Amino acid sequence: MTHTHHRRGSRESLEKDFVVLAMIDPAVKAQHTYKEPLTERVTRFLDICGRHNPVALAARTPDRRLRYLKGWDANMDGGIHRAANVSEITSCEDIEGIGHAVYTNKPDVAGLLEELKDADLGLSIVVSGVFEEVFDACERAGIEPHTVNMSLETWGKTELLPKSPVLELCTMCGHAMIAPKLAETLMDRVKRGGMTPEEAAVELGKQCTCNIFNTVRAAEIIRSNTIEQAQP
Amino acid sequence: MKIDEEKCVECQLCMAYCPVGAIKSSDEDVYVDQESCVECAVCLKSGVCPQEAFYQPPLEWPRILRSQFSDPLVAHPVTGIMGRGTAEMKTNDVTGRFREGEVGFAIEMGRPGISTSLIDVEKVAMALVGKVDFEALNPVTVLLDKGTGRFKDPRVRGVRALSAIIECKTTEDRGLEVLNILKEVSEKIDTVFSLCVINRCQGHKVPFKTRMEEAGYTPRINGKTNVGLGRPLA
Repeated sequence: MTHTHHRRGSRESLEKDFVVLAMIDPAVKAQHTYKEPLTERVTRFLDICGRHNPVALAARTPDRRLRYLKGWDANMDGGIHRAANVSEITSCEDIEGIGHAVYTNKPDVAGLLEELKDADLGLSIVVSGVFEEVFDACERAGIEPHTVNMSLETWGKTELLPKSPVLELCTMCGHAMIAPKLAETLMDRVKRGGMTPEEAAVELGKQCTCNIFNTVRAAEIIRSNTIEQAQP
Repeated sequence: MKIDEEKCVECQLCMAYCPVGAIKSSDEDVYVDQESCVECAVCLKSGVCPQEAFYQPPLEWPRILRSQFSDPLVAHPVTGIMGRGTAEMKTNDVTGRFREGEVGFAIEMGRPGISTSLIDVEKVAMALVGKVDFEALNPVTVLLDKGTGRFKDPRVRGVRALSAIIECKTTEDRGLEVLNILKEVSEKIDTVFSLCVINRCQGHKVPFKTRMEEAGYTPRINGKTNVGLGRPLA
């Protein structure tokens, strides 16, 4: 489960991309019963996440996934994908022990971490992003990083990989649910004026069932490679 | 995955949604190429088909492995969790799976989005035998003969997946040797792998990062940080 890892892009772009994950380990029973019932702690986690301007927020119940994605209108739904708003997620009463949120700036993440530290929820928290920025956010929150997972990029037949910006868009879903061909098709549609970068970003983000896709960053990538590129 | 020919109107809207390009068209129809389909079910889940022509036939062994490795909504019977690997470093603050002086590797075959034959997974696993401790609860590990790195059931080699993760660890002292082995075997596979390297922090320092950089392996600027708030067994 390394789904928030290996996101590609320039430093400038990646500095606007943070994924925060909360989970408990199936084997560590003490984490399941720490202080309060798990459902209440995860609900509090989601509530805190919701106060720091997430561009995506996701939680699971026993039978469905609750997904808020900035720009996603419930009228755009298709297939198994369903949009939720933040309050629908934070008020849900049968949440399971995992949650995700996506942010676009460091102050929001630092504020979130500070609140999570004070809340002492007994949930393992992982932040994906530019290490220097994440470590700085930890320092601001008075937290010491515990373990890192570094990326040594991609090895082997790298000539098979799609080119940038498709790679940057597709790697925002670590399970590769977003087809390179879909990214190309939607960017082409934006170029021809058939849809906005934001609409294209949401259609891509819907495919990422874990809901860790950053639609704000994606729209910027799409805009700079379509509309702005076409301008004289 | 299959397409019901009676329902399909050959609009081809679905073709762009397949991560591995397995939906193909001929003069007669639009169909799912069963060899390249990794059973990720993106086509079905997307809702793109106006005719609801996609359907999932029952999957037998070993084809069911395609779904278990490719579809993140399918829980693997070994880990009991959705996704392709384990909790790895995400809960290391409560499990101590990776301790000081150790380095973990997650070699995600086929990522990003290229897909992989499990033959290539076996090649990498065989190269690592004796050099690492494989993660016992990982879905790839349970398929392997631990002495040789070969699949216990040779039919598994014919499976294709969107990705499959080999998870293992060793000591920091042997970590560079593992990277050199991976470099060598990466030239013998017909796909790609994305490589994760896990290490405990010492304050804001990451000891194995320094060793890697001195040896010419430069990690990306971004990655994952467990911030140590899991509390109970820390």
